[in-house]
Amino acid sequence: MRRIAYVLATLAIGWFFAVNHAAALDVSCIEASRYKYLFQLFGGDTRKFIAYFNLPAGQLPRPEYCRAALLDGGLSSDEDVTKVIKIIGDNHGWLATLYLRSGGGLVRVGVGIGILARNFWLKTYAASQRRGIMDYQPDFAVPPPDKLPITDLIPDNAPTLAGWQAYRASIAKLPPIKMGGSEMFCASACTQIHAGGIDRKGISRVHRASGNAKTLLATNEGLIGTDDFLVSFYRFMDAGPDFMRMYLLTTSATTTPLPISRFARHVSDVLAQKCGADADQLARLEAQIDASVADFGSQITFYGPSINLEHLRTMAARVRMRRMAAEQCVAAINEAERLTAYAGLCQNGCDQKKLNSLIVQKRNDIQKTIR
Amino acid sequence: MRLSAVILLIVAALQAVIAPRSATAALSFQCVEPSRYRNLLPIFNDDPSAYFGYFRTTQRQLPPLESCRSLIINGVIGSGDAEALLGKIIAGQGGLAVLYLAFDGTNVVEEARMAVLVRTFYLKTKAVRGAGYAYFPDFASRWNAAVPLGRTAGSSPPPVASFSPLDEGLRHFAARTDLRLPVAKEHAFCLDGCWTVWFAGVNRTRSAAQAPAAKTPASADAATTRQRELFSRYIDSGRWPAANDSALVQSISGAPFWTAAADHMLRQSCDAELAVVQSLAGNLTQTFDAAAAKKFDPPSVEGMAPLLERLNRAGARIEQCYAVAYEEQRNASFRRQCPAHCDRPVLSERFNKMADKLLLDAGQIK
Repeated sequence: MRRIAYVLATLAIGWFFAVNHAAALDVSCIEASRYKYLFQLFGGDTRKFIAYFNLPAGQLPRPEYCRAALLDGGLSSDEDVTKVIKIIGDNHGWLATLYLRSGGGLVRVGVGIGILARNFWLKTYAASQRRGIMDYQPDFAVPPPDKLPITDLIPDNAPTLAGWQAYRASIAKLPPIKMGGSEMFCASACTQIHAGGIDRKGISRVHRASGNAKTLLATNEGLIGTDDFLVSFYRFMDAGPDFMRMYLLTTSATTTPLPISRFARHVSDVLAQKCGADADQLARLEAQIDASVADFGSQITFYGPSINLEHLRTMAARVRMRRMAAEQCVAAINEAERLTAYAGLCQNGCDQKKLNSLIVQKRNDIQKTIR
Repeated sequence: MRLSAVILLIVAALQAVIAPRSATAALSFQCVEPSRYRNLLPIFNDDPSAYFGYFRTTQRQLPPLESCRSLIINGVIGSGDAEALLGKIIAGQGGLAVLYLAFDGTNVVEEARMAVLVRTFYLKTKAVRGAGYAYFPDFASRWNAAVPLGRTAGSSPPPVASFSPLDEGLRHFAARTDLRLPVAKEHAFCLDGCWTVWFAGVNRTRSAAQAPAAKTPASADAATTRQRELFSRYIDSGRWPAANDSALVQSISGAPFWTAAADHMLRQSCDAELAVVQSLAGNLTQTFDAAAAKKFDPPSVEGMAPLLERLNRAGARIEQCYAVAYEEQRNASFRRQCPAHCDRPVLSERFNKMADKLLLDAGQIK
């Protein structure tokens, strides 16, 4: 009986709680992610592109297709879900990443787009900025170290330093996406989209939902229902125990910034098994060595004798080389998975109704898992 | 005494007399507010025992809480500036440790006298090279937190104790809004005679170079520049370089961060800490190579975490050891000059004579 009351309250109130009344969502292609530019990473050789991703011969995106889209603004209506479906369809399965710049909005919309992200096998990155400009990085490869260690070779077909330079030169004149330093890049209902991604990067700012029903009793019961649903949603998306805990602990008046684990656990296990290394773990190892270089280099060496930092730098470079191979392996697996997902969901173009039904069905599945 | 040396001394003395009238300003010696000891104590959790413990001092005496650990020196050098610096050192009762230098102009006598004070009282110097330089304590720095290398997707790593005992205090300190140095726009660079004083620092660092808005012509002629160079080399090593020493063609502004004497002192004081860090670095290399042989599979990467953590801890211990060594030397230097109290006239005369004599000797090297 209590469960039913919660569900009713959730449906009646929870889905409509706007936690942050922001401007409507703008969904646009990130210009620097158009394939005509990304091909430059491979020296313009599309055969290398195909080989890098281990794609069937001839399976290529059109040069104008976008690999990444920016979701910018508040989540204010179901139209926002439609906009995301449209950009997925417009790019015929080659859209891989959603960059998120949103202070939140309706939980229903965040959950809907999060479900789409998961089922279309999309990556979700909370936008970050460098000197006021949104930072876009191709999602499928990491650049080689500036100084190549003599012990390791660049993996076959992976973008070389020259390729990265050519890519950067090709996008240099594109208009930058400006961002303010104090913006909350992915907060509140946006975190549901972030959690839905299959490869997640950046910081999510979580808090409990808020709302206002006719009575305090109804408000409380409705929000507890929303809490139950969202905890189940985050669990279903495998955002991690900290995510669920901090969602429940953080008052709606503020937000808690949280790094989100890059992959869902089971996905992480499979990728590590197939690739022989954990790409995310290698990224953390490289970050740790870089931090040690920075600490020893910027602090001790100002005051007195230190250790041989060149040795640590070489270690970081060797880890980077291994990461390049691991990221290539992960990229190929994800690419195949995403293209398969798209073919299954949008075989003859993306049907709005069918996809809305998918969202409802998945939502109901999650609802059933409420503990 | 050679005639040329006498002439140089007379010129220098004249500069000292004339300079105040021609200079736009005498140097200003301003406390760097966050460096007041009352502002530094929160780094030690406001706990004097933590302060004494960090500096490993048995004398349970804090520097005066209102005194400043750092000063910023701004303006154009002129007569009486060395005297003013001596006054500040004495007022600090041994607590003054760092000078941020953002001044210009030429007055070899004052430069030399200030340099003698800096070296005698074992002060650190920092050359300011543009606005935007922020103050940070000279005795500790924030260490990056350990990056978890375990494969526990989705949950926070177990809490990692800080590498340095001061990390938490420094994190709060870094949030202060007054850390940017109060540098006058027209004197935001250490130029000319400023480098003579900078070079005398026992530990001398410089901010990242910015291009000055307008290139100011050097205010010293070739003879003065050479006199400065010779004087500085003597201050640094305690012996005169040969007139044709190749080191003389290298600018002193590119000098190493710490002196040869400080290097010796630090290696002696922190020999154990350095040995440990070298050993850990060696162990890390072995573990890393073993992991590389396994193509960095997850367990081998995870196995590197404890060593990296130990290496960073050892690094933080070296940093503390260096801080202690510098502190001990500085305190000892102050006590040597001011055993019971500071006799300012005596000290002033002693250091002025010393600097003037060295300048004179420098002028004799051809």
